[in-house]
Amino acid sequence: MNKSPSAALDRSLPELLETWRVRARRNSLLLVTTGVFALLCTLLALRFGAMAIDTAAVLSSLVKSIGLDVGSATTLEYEVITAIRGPRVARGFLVGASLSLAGAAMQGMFRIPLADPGLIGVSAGAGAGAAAMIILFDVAALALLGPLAWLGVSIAAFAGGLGATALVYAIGTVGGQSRIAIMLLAGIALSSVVGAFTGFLVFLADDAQLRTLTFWTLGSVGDASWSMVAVAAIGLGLSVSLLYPCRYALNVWLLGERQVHQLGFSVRRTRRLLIAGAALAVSLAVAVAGVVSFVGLVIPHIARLLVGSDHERLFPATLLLGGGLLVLADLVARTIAAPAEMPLSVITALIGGPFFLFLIVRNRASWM
Amino acid sequence: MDVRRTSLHAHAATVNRGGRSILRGASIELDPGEVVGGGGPIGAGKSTLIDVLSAGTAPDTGRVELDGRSLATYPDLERAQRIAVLPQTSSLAFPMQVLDVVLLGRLARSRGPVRDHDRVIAARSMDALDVLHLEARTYPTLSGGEKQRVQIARIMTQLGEDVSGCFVLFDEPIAGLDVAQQFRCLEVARALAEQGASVLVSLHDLNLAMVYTDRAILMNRGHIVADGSPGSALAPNNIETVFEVRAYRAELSPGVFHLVLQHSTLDDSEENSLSQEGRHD
Repeated sequence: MNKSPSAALDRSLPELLETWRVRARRNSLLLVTTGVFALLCTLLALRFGAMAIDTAAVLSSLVKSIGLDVGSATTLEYEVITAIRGPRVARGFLVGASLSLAGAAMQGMFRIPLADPGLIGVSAGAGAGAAAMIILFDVAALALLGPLAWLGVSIAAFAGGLGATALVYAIGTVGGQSRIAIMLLAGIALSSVVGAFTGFLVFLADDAQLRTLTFWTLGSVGDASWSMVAVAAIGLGLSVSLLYPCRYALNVWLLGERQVHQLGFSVRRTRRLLIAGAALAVSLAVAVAGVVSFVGLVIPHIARLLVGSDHERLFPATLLLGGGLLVLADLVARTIAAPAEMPLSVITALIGGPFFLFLIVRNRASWM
Repeated sequence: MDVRRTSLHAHAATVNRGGRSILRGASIELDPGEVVGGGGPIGAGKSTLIDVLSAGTAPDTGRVELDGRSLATYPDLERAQRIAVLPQTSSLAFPMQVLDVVLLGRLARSRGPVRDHDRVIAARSMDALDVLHLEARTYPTLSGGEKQRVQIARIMTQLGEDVSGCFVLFDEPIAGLDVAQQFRCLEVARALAEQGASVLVSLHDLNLAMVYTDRAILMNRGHIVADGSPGSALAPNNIETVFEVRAYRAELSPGVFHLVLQHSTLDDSEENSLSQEGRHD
């Protein structure tokens, strides 16, 4: 090591800095691109469906909904956009965004690129909470309560999801370092215990409750209402406000808990924010749309390929990509066999499952 | 304390874990400009001592002071700008670029968008550790020695351009490095001390400790059993007691000593024929 900065470095420094600035700008540009992509997906999903509505009518309906009466949308088109497609697309976007954000946070928090809310039992925990609410407190009564009922289901799901996340984290972290195998095994065990609990609830359920539960566990964003969208939006907002302040600490977190402390972050505070934020995002998505698998695994990987591992960019990129792609997947689910609708999880699992296998095969030397 | 000067001082620090003491009344003071070597068997408490000196673990009894002020009361960020630790393990399974790993160090000083000032410090640190050419590589694809140097560059970025008055604690930095890399790593420790930092290095290779440190401590079962010049702290009789092996000091050339270690059950006839300074009993 040289005591004084080397002369060669001083000569090449301006050029080096320019290279690094260009790299940072490129990453920011890619982040903007994901935003544009999300917007395009949303427009596409509003445009197509059982009734074709052209882009001009979609836009004029949107403008009309905020009180400006311009453009050519007919009353029917306006109704379809604001009462049927609008809430459905919004719900889909929020579910995709929440699951992806939670996936990114959990992969970082558990230091495992493999982590997915579904794989480590967090979705199952949230699902059990929501199922308990649906069955023990009867769907019909819930339907009467309307928006409040969704809040109740969401809170129950959050309790289940939070418990599962904290438990898996506590079991799978030894001395501030994550043990991948232990965490995944704990997730399997947790999922089966929670599965048994949900099975018991099914045993208690009557026919109507069973139908609701079955559709709900397969995942769907159909039949959306604005009140449901509001609950999901508030949940995502809260989750972002917990996770985004952790973006710098989470970058260091990837090295180990000790390094987080050494760089002057509070390990305990960061851990609490991450667990609560990730559990909240998963639980809300599960409460609103059932268990939609693999979104939380796949989207952060794609986002990382685009903008890198820095959570300052990864969080927004994941959120936007996840929202956009889920809206797109839902568009496929409702148009591919129209007028019938395919369950959303069929599509996400069909894409996510093989992607997961690909990840395992590609990285099997370096993981475990 | 009345006297305020740069020092990191543990007073009779004891740490209990699971019903037993892993650090027992350890007292040590680190001063600027010196490299202190830490030796001792596995489980002697070296890592725990480093943890205590960096506020990673609060001692159950005793206290740790930085410049005469209790380390526990230091704000996290101020502490992070003064004390840096190179842990034994830094796992990173994510495809992060080397530059970004080194830039993590800046978070002890600035949080917000990366500025050119941060980049200059990162570039200087990487240059000093000869890893600048790796800056665009993905961290998990590096070799063990390269990863180690990148982590040291991260620590130097943490402390900033002026390391005087800073404390750098290396926890077994040369495990898993080849001989040349070991020398290079310890040269870095020396250079940091020459720039005014205080360096503590825990080492398993006692001969490297003899060559590269100004002062050595020997630990056993949670106690610091010797603290002094490398020659006295790592004297053969101390090593024989702590490690339960036979130790001789061989004089390779005038003034250059080398510790020769043997399994304690070997009998005298098998002793080597190097010129011996004699056994210290």
